[in-house]
Amino acid sequence: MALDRKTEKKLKNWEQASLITSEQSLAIRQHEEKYGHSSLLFGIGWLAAACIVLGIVALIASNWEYIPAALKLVLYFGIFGLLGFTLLKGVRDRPIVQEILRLVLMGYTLAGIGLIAQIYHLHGAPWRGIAFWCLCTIGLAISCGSAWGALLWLPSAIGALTLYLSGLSLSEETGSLIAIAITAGLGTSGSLRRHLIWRHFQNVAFVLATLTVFFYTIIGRYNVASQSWFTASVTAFAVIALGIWAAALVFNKSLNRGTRFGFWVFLGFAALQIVYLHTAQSTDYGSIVTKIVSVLFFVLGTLGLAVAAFSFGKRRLFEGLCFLIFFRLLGIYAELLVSMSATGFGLISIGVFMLAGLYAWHKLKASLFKTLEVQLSGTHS
Amino acid sequence: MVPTLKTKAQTLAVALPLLALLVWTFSIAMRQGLAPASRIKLVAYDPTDLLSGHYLRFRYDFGSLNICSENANPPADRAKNQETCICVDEGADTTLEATLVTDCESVAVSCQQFVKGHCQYSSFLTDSERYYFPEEYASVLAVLPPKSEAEVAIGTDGSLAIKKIFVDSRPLLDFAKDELKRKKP
Repeated sequence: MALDRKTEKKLKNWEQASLITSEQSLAIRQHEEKYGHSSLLFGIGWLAAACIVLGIVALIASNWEYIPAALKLVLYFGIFGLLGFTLLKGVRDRPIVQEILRLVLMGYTLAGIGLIAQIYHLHGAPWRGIAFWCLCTIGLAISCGSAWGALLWLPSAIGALTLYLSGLSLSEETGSLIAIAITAGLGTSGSLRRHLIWRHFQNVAFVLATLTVFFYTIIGRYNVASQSWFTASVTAFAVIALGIWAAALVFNKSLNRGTRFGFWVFLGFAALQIVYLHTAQSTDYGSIVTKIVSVLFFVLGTLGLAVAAFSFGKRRLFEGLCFLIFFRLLGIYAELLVSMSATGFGLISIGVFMLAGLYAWHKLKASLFKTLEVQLSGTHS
Repeated sequence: MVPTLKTKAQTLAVALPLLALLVWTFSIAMRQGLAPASRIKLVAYDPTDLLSGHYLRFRYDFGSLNICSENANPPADRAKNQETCICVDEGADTTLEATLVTDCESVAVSCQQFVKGHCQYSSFLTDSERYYFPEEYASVLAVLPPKSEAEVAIGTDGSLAIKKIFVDSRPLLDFAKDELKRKKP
């Protein structure tokens, strides 16, 4: 595959700046041409394969009555075998095609479960079907070269578990405790040193757990205090679970100092937020003090997450989180001075703050990045 | 060429879903094929569903016994979707009727033929309450036609699998075809 213009230009610049030799540049070019792939190409390939599979399913569906059940199954398993053989033997030296076929087989397995259920008129709880799919496709998801397999598999497995638990009619408190345990389990496993086989699962688990903590704790929903499941035992368990997750970071020696420190700050303020919102509920729920303290925890916790992202080399994410903090501050300004913000003056002041924030960011961004780089220097994973 | 560990793992990853689906299909086919066929009366169920028009929804009519009533013995734990077993026997019109609600652990001792299911409020469900049909019959099969009966296979473990539906002794799809012709002369 030919190199894209951006990489080609970078290689030339680095060569001219004597950062790399012409031999190194040639080696990089050859490596990229052999192993590199465009995500657009991958996307189109995946879409094409998905169209073919869906087309086959649609053909069977539209001729449902005229195709005998046995023939439907023979067709289905025949195509499965053909796709499997192509993956194992036909496209050995084409990683993109292999990856597409793995994802297609994962989808095709789900279609098969549906087809068999239709032929034999089966009707069970949805979690059974999803759990069966997860069991069938675990190997395909693990063998995926990209995170897509894990991204499809892990939320499905969590979904199946959630559906199963919701069918048990557990109390809200028990449900919350289980949800916390799952989140902390995902976060802890995602924070440990990356294992060659499970690395994509760990990455997805880490992202899912971080997002859950972000939305359910650090964002500081004041109304959470009034929920019946937000009991002392739930609060205590959440703090312990976050503590275990934080401790897991100690064992991951591949993470640099900044990433670890930033994430500890994030988890610490998430725990503080939970405790604070729990203790505040009986005294000054919804008061200005509660809101300000909660936003303060949000700002500091999100800042910790931003520092962790920066230190890990995710600068776009760092910028996004900084903007999120800025908008949260604007939000609390509008919330506290709601009567004023409805007037012309309120709107003007919000607009001025936004422009001032953008100007300050534009001016300070370069020096901020430099300072952070110096402060957080360490080894990347 | 000796297959590497990676190749073996890849082969296993592809073979796992294929084998699992094959075993599943085979076990259903065997269960349905070997078990003797019986008939159960059906009653229509609210067809409101996003996918209605692709399948019929119904409930089995096991006669006058209150399977999921709070007064049943043993009382059904409706909140927990607890497994419930019923002893069944052929009634006067040769369709199966429930004769006893019993504990699933001792059901094999209590009766010769039984059906395993669970209570959802007042309904006794067996996870076999759908019947798929081609979409072209959606207009005439929005609701289960009256006088419908299901031909089912009941496994030794009490699992129930639906084989066919008959409307007044006619196969469901024949009934649907006639109804469609009648609607569009």
